[in-house]
Amino acid sequence: MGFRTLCRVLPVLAFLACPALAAEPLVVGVNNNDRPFCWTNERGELTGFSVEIARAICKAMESECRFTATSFADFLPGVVDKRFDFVVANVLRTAEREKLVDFSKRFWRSSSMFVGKPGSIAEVSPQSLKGKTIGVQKGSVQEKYLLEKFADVVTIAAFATNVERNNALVAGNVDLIFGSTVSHYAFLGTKDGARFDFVGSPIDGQGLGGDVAIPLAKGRDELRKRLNAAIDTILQDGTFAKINNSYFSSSVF
Amino acid sequence: MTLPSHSTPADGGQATPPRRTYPLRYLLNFSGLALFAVAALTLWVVVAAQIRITAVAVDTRDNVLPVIVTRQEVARDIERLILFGEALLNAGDPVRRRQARLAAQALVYNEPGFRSDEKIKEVGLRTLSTLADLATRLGQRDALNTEAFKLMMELDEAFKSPAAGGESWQDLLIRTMRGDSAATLDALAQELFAALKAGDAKQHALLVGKLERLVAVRREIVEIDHGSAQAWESTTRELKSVTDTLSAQAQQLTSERFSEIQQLASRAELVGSVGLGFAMLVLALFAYAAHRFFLRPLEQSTANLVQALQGEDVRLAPRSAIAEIGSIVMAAGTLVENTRTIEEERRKVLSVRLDAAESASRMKSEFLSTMGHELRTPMNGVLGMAQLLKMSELNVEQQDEVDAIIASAESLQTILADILEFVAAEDGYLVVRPNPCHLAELLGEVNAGFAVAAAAKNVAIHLDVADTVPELLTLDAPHLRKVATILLKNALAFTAQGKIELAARMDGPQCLHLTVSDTGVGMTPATVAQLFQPFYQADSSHTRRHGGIGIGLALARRIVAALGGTIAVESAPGVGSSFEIVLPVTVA
Repeated sequence: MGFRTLCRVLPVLAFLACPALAAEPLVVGVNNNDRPFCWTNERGELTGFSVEIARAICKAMESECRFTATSFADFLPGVVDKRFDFVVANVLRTAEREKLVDFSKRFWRSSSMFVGKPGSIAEVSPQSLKGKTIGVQKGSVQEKYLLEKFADVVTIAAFATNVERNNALVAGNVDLIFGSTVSHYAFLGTKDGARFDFVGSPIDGQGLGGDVAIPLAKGRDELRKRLNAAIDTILQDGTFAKINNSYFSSSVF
Repeated sequence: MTLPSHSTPADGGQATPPRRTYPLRYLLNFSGLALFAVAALTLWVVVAAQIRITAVAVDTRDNVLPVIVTRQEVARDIERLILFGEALLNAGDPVRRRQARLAAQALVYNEPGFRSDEKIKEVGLRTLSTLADLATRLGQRDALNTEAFKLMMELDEAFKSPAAGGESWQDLLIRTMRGDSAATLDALAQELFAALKAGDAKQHALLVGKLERLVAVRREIVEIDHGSAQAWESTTRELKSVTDTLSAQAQQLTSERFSEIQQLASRAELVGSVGLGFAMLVLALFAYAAHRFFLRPLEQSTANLVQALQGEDVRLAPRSAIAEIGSIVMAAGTLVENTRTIEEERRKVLSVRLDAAESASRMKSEFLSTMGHELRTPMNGVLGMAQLLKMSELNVEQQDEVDAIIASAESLQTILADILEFVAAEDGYLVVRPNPCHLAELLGEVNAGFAVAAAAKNVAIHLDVADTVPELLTLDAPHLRKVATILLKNALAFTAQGKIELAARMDGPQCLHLTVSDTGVGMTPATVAQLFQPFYQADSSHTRRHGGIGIGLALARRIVAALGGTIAVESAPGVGSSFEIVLPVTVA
């Protein structure tokens, strides 16, 4: 029985199998330099928490995926322009972003925090932040928050990647960095990060904390359903926990 | 036929004042509405209960389960926090302590469970500050420990003399390094100083300072250890009490919610079954009512009509509360009543007619009887006088005339006798007197009586008594003679020529057959059918030709009937007739 015959004779099989086999590989956007979520290792392979999760999701969807690394600020435009089928990175689901794209269900969640020299600020306030230079990732909710709240008292330094932002802190070019708690946790555990600490308290209101989900173009409900099913699958079969525990000390889901 | 009363209270007959009735469509509408209302109410209650259950289930899913899950997650996170704390406390180097503290911070800062609930948030932040404090203290302890170790090495190297109490200086130093309470350290310090005093005095001044410093550092380390242990223990206790509380709350929430759902479900079940039962009851009542007020009256009315039309006695159907059925029942009742009235009236008319006929017949018999007697008395007078006259001296011509008078009178007398006998038989006064009698002789005498008349008509009369007929039979001879005479006379009257046969035979020991057959004019079947009616004559012209008043055969039939026998006739026009009498007899 030929492949075409199979597709014709068994529509159910055809429905399940043929698109997966016949379709173009899905293009997945990932971060180009954001340890521990996504980076290129010594062998030139993409690796990291997001990449492994993305691979697990593709496997659960039985789809072939092709990864494209790009900067955070390019994720949503890429999805809107259909350059990416979806993006697996630390993109928080916010009401504003939902106007542009659809989101899957969450696959991890985070709050936002400042990191700096230990004890450099006690609480986050215009007074304590006054005159500081703060590094953020370009296009992130944290950048937006600083622009809205503290633009008149702080200097905002936006970086394309989290690694550049972190390097700026290590080099002393910025006083504080502002970003995802989970991301900071990984940085603080490194040798470079050892001199720094969480400062202030976590912020998760105003879109700064909550669900990190997979953005995809609006109207692609079929893909969204498959992504959600795949997230359920990897949560239930232990794949997620395995990946989680190899990067973090506690569950980020 | 007697007619029962139809106005008994049980029957609710036509005589009682009419009960209240309701039109069928109102009843049907009402019943339908009632059933609909009951069913709708039950359904509504059941559906409402189910909606309630669904709402509770949805609420459980949306509000309660997340709370339970969150509590369990928070409890699990706190357990993790304790593990990170233990790791920090037991870590030998600052890098691992930092890792443990970062993990704890990431947990408390990132997990929503530590921020949604104020109390848990506070506990989490307090734990973090405890861990920060512990990390600082453990850092200090590291420095102190390094110093203590250095001092110990220096002391050990500088002073080699054996201890006074047998225990070596080195052992004492090691014990000092291990001592984990202030008291132990004090005791050891005394021993060390004692050992130092007992040793070389030159070194003494230098070593005392170092030994004092060592003991002080050890004291500080022990204090730090105790303080850390205490701080961590109280933090752990607090964290554990939080997890225990969360678990207890989750359990309580779960069990509360499940018992609420169970309660609702059983209530819905109860309402459902009660409602269903009630609906069944209402249906059963409707079925009973339909039977009682609709089917039964209708059925009985139909049966009544059929019975009444067949003329049978009927009971009226019970009245119905349904107007239409009531009308049908009433109509049927009226019809039955009417049928009865008609029947009764017809019966009355018949009975009146019967009475009239009977009375007419009786009057006729009385008249005939009276008239017979009245006629016979003068006839006897006439006959007696005629015979006296005959005995007087008369000439031949006169003799003949007297004979004619006597013959006419005798003939008249016979007719009168016949009429009287017929009347007697008609009134049921015929008396049967069986006696032993010689049948052949009796028949011979009858035959002889007609010999002259037969010879005159040139008709032969044969008498044939079968051998089987016994000589003596017990029978009513006068009446048998009368019957035989009537039949022979009748045969002779209708036979112009040929022969007449009078035959007797036995059919069994107690059954006598007597046959009179002729070769006369015969009769049509219509005539035969009317033959034994009184006063009937086959042909009115016949009266003029043959005479007679037409009661002979009727009389013969009545006599035979009185004797317990039957008489039958076979006849064909132009061939002749044959009369047969069958009589019960006994052998004398």
